[in-house]
Amino acid sequence: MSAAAKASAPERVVSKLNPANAVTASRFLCLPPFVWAVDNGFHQWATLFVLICGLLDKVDGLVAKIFNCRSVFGELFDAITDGICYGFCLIILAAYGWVPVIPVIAVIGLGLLNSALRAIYVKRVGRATNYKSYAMERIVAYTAYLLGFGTSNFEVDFYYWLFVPLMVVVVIHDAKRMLIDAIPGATA
Amino acid sequence: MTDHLISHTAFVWSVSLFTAIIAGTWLVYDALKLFWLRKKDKSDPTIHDKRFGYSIGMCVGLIGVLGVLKYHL
Repeated sequence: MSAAAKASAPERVVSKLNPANAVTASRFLCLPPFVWAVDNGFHQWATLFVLICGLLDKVDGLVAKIFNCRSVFGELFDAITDGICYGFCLIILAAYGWVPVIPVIAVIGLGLLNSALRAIYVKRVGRATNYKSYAMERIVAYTAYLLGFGTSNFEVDFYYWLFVPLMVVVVIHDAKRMLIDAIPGATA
Repeated sequence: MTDHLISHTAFVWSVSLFTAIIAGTWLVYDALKLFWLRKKDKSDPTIHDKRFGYSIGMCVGLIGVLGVLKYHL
């Protein structure tokens, strides 16, 4: 198909009830057993449920590719699920004293700040697009690993405290790019 | 019901190996991507973002590897 034909073709409509979103939603099922494991002091079980939640995060993208059901809603749903699952698990770990509280507060606070900055950026560019941050992608992945270090009681202080300055640097960098720098593709 | 899916030693080594392999791969992968970008236009915002992202990725990988070494040494 030529580029012109592709441009004129109607946009493919993808149902919200698709296999990829089902896999994404299934990640919430990991939360109750996770709380049960932490409440009982079962480090290995808690690590297993974090691992399953993380694997499902990888599988949903694969399923979307296989079933050709990628959508804007799916990407947003995936990002929201990431935030809820990781945020909830971090709060539980901090509440039970498995991880230091101050880095967890910093991580969640900076995460919320980053979401607010992204919302401002979307309004600034005036279209339903978002700022692609290669650094923040890596920080989000690190957050998932933080859960694993917390549940397995593996160098918890080292990993948690080093995470904070790294995330501060990335949020400051992304804030400048989203709020101050010129918008890519915009005419002066 | 007990916590022991596997022995404590096996659990610690599983976490260590998992972390070391992922973090080590991450460190090398982002270092290579950063290296391949060295001749690209640094004033291009996208290239700048990629360079910054890969540098952060290298830091994350390095922290991962150092954590494993700190635990075992």
